[in-house]
Amino acid sequence: MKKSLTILSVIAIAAMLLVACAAPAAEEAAPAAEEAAPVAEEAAPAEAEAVLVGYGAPELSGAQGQIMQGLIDHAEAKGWEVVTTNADFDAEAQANQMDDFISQGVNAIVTVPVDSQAICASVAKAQAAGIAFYTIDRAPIGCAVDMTVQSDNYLAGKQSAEAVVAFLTEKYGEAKGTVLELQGDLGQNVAQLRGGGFNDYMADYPNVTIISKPTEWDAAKFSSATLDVAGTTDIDAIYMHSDSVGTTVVLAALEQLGKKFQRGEEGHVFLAGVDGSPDALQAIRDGWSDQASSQPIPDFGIIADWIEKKLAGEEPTEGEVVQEGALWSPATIVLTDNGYQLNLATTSVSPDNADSTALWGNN
Amino acid sequence: MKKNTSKLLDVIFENLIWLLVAASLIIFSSLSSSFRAPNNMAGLLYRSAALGLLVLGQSFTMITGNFDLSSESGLGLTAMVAALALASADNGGLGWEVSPFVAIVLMIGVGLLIGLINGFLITRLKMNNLIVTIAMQMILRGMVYIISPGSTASFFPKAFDWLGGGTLFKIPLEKGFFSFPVATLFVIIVFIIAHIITRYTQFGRNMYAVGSNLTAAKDAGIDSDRIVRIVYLIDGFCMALAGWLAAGRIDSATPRTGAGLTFPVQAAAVIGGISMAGGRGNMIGALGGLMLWSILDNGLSIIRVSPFWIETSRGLILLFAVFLDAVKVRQMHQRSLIDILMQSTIGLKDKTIVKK
Repeated sequence: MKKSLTILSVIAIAAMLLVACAAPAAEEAAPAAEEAAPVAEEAAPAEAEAVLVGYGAPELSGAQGQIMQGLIDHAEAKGWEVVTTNADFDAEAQANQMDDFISQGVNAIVTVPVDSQAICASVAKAQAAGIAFYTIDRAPIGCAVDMTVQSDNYLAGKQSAEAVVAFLTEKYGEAKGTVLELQGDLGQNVAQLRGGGFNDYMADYPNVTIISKPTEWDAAKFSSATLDVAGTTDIDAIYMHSDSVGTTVVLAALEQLGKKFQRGEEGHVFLAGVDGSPDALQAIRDGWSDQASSQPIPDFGIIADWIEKKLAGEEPTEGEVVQEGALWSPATIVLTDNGYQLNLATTSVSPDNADSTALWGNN
Repeated sequence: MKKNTSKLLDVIFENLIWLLVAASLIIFSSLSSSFRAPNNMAGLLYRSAALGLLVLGQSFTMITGNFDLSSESGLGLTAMVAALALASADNGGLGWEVSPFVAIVLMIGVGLLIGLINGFLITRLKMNNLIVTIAMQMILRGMVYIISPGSTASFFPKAFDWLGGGTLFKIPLEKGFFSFPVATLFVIIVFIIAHIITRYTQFGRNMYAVGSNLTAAKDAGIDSDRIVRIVYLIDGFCMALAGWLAAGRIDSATPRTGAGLTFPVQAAAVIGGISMAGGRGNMIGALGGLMLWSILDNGLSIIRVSPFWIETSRGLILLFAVFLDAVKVRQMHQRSLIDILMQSTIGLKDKTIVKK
């Protein structure tokens, strides 16, 4: 009897568990099923009443949350619905999430790829199912999407290089010295461009030695590379491919080495980077950091304008896109092997404009 | 009558995983038309095929009372080895561009070598299986980064991708196609083969004997070390197959391919009824565990449950599975006590005497 009761209670718990799992789902599922079904059944997305966009985040820390919110804001302003997922750095999980979007019959998929090459398998599947595919922040490598919206990463690298050269020239009377470049994941074109813009500009200054260290966007590697290089070499400046990942840990590493000095003090290491994160802007205001090439992160959501055009049957055209007063303006649209790319201008932040409320890092 | 009811409950208890699978299929199908769409259903095992092979390898080791926490990195290393050999230099490979056959032989060789090393360290050097495989997880992941210098290798020949990403057949539908993934069928077949090995061969019976009572198994003349070594070899082979499926699935191997799968592997095996204590569980149950995992992953995502709830539900299901395992163990102890007393010379024939 006791055994039977145990077994029955186990089955009861199992049933409760399943209900518990389904409960939060049921709340959301009702409208979801109603809206997703007609979208899936109607072949022409432009004729569908509600536009459903699938957004796949690679992870949700740092600027990624702002990128996602920017897309949601722009899409909701058009009366669209956005389904979001988080791959948590796992390319295979992202592939599964893309499959789920296809199953849901979304009108368009927008994602920040975990891996620029691995995303191509999902791009091919979505395109075979007739679903438009867009990427934000990182273009795919090896396949073409409808459009990628990203910062002009080459310009960002160049803006940081200009600031580094100006600092070295002021310090030594000419551009010379040693610079540590903390690279991102070189498998991604964003890191290649941030490195390219920086190094191409620095190539005109042969007396500047650049020590480059890959970090794969990993904060621990930003720290260890700084400790390794700055601990054994006198460096004048550090250029970070991502100040949102690097600022705090790099400053902590410099402090550990006894090399953290404020702007104007002797021994100050000039700190420049791309992103314009809240940390970086605060560090600039506090005098620990010096320059940031700020990305127009919330504006990545303007990809919704091009999705709208695509759903109406309109293709992008190459050229300049200008919008009065927008930080991202002028932007350029170029057609590459990886599809159209909308490159939004970055803003070079110095102590003079670090307080600007137009910068995403101050919002 | 009471005996029959008890037997029926036993059958339900043993196959609870399939009741859960059926219940979750019904719930999600009724909640979402996207979930019950044929392509989505056929893709349930496809999406977790690589995980499935790791669950299989893990189930083999767990039945013998061992663990393997290195399999996620084994998957990553075998995938990267094949990817580097296959991909052109432009696409992150070494530029060898070997044939898919050579790449598959190479990755299976690496998988078997990992299994051989694990088995050797555990049986010959008598090192703790948990710590050995944790160390191997770190070593193998480190090797992935060493050989790949942190970058992705992509774009393989179609023949290589066929198993992980290919389609067995396509049937035209009113809108688009119904396509049946090769990986879905492959996973079902390997689980059936594994079930036959464990259930109907002497080797399989020996595995259970080693896992349930090592001393008794040794006394019965079973070379337990040999059994464990073979089990780790099978496990290594499964890692390589998982690597093949994972790389084919996304036509790429990244330095992080397979990372983070250790806990899902343990969870799916335990949910499927493979006992943490060894000696119990079967491969068909493990397949059920994998399916439930996959249905939750896909179903909750499709009906737009927040990712945080998805994690929470997985944790609850795992807790529930461990609870079931504990109940089973208690039940078995009680039964064996009854059997001992019934066979004793005291003459106790009535089971109720020993029941409290």
